[in-house]
Amino acid sequence: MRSTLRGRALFALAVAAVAAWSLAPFLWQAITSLKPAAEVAAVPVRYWPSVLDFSSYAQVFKARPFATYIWNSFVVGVGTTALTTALGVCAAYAFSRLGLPGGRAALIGILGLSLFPGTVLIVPLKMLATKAGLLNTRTGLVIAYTALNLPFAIWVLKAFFDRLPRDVEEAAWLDGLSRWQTLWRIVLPLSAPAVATTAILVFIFSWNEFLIAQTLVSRDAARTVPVGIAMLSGVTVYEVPWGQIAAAVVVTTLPVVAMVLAFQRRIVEGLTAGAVKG
Amino acid sequence: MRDHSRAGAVNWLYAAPAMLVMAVVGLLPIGYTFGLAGEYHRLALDTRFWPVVRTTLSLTAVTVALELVLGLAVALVLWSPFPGRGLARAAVLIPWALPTAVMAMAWRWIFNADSGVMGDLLFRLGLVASPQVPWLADATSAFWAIVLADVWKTTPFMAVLLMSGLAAIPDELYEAAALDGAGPVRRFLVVTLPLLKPTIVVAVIFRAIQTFGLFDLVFVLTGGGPGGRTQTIAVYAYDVVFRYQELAYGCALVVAMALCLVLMTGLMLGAARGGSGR
Amino acid sequence: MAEVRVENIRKSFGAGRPVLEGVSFSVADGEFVSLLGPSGCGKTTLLRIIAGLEYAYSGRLSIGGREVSDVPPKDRDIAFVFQNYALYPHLTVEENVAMGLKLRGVPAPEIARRTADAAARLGLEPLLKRRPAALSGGQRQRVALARSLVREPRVFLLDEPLSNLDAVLRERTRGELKLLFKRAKGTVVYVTHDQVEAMTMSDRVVLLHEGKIQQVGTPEDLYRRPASVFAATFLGAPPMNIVPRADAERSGLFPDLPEGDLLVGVRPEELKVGEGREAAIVVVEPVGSYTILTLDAGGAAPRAARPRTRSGGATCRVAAPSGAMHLFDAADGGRLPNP
Repeated sequence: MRSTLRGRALFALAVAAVAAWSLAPFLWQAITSLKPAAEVAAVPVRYWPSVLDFSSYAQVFKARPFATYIWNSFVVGVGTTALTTALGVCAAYAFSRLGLPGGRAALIGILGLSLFPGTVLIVPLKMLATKAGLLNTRTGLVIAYTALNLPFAIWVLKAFFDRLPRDVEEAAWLDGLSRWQTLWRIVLPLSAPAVATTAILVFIFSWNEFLIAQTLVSRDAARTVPVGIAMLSGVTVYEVPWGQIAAAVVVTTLPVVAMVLAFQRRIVEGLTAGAVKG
Repeated sequence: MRDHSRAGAVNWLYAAPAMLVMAVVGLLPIGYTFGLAGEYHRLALDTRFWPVVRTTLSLTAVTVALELVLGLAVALVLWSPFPGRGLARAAVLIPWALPTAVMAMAWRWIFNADSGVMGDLLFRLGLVASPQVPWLADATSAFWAIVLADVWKTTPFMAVLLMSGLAAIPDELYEAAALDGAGPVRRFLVVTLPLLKPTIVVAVIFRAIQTFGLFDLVFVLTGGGPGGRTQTIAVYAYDVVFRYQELAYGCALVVAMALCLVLMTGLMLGAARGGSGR
Repeated sequence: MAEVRVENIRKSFGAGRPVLEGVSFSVADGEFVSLLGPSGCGKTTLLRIIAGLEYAYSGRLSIGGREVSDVPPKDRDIAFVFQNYALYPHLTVEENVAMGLKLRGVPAPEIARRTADAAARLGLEPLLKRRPAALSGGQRQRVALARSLVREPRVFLLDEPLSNLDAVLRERTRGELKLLFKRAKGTVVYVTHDQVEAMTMSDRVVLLHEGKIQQVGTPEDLYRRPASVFAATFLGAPPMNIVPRADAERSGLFPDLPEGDLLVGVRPEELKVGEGREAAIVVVEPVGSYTILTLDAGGAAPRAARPRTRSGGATCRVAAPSGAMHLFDAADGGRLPNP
């Protein structure tokens, strides 16, 4: 169908259009972030800076605790990813292989739970966190995010375990491995791709989360990047520092962009397994 | 004889930590929200409630419909192999992976009244009278700004799901249809669409549930404004709880939202089932 | 080495028809027994029950005189060769072979010696450092065998180990396997749906059909004296001709049939072509060393095997020697004594 020259050109145009549409808002932030302060809000709009100016980046790190936000997001992301993956692997293996009585019902319950929007739980969650002394802590966020991401992790990993050949595990029991050893020494090495996929997606979810972070954290010491950026503002409402915001947006999103470029395939697989299987 | 392959209930221990976290941080708060909720009679008297529900529903309907059409187009373009497909797919995935709250700031800048690029571009195209358009100060244009940002953000997810559905359609069917004399459009109508329907149903329901609970994009992009006229139920409930400190009524709103959600999902499932029964 | 006794094993999955309906047989120490039957007959389930990978609903199972129904698989002192080999993809050939010994706490020098020995016996020395993905099907199959041999178990259980090999390799491996297990002096239970494998390799064959044992005996027994119509038609290629009494009588091939509602069977290769009554040739199927003829002999349409050397003609003469006849009960398919 793309055999004719015209057809090929049209197709290339379609691909280019789709890519441009996807990247435009991000690219506009990148351009804005590189403008000298005077040109950021220039009227009419300048589409290219007269000189590349990195002072917005310097400002956002110097004048604001932006480095702390990034560090918090990173710590929370890594903690959530590690905890979710570890707990998720064990649970998914049990659901996939160990014939849990009532397992099917539990899986459907988990799925139902995960469909509720975060708003449904923030009020009690804040009370719970207050009681447990986890308000304004990264630990509190890690625990909340783990609970939120576990349904997804369990479904993706279970879908993968279901496809693994059982006979390798049976050979392992005959060789004398216990269930637990089989999981760690045989199943896990074979599932490395699925575990990696799950970890990447959970990290992205955690990095991006806003509502719970906004609810559970009100101090800079534990604040994560999305909340930090949404709160960036000037001295008055009319003085929004758009250059700095753009710089912050670029710094925050660049790691995610890099992850997508590196792991595009895994992300597609993970999303498909997580959503369609459900 | 004893069952050596599945030891049954004891294996719940593998899933126990994950289940515990989800129960304490997921299920318990949801239940507690129902417990905290009260003053339900105010729902009937609240003049804000029905407009908010209407806004949420329109947002859901418009966004999901646009996403489905665009997602299908993107999926059709990016589905078959071509040189550079991986890169194109990665580019398309980027909006999905970027933090919603952070990109909402980016959109706020694009829709900025004084030096926003949206006004400038449309002015250059001759579509608006002045490059200075107060997009977010008008209820209608603010609504469409949210739609645009949400469609931009979530079309990739739709496209990924639809691509997995496309991949599951055997080539032979297209070949058979082609041999029967069907052109590309007919092949799409008689082969692609019917076979893609289950995937479309899953994707639409999934996305509708997510859009219905939308919080962060609206909260950061318009703050629910102007004058609360772009508030979704989630944003409104958040305001009632955290700004006006009306815990019981706020939770009642959340409960109402959850019930609407269940009702909506039920109706959509019913419609899908009825549609395929024909 | 050890004897395996299976007593009255029953098994069903869910509510459907039981997979095994009271199966009993025993395998003597050092004996090579095949479980033969079409797919779905329960043979693999039976083997997995012996291994402990499945559990039976009821019945008893002993290995070497010890009741093992409640013994976990790893302590039954058996080795299992899986149909798809079930090699650990992330371990080398050597690690695959040595895993079972390592987990049983065998001292390192002995592991090395036994692994080397098994590798030598199967010609795997040049492959020891490779991963399964870098091996051919035949090589993987030999690794799976080495993994079972190295354990020096009392019983070898093999689940269709040749079914994933191509025809040529399968032919060659049959003989090698037989020799290998004879040398290992192992008790072997071998599951297959391939009658040629069962016939050529086994000391005895257990023929299963729909969860029940049809016949137990030496390959010769099963061929010469099939216990049922099922056994008669499942073994032998082309299968035995089976015709109702009336048709057999009309064909004139079987002069002295006893009374009663019965089925008459005769193997194609035992029909004598070139003597007896005239019959039309309907289909000719040359298979190389001989030719299969489908004949029209008045009512019966028997198939006959004819040596390759003779050919041609629209008709031929055919006769059934009296000793070649098998009689079966038309009601239950059971074998009846010859008159």
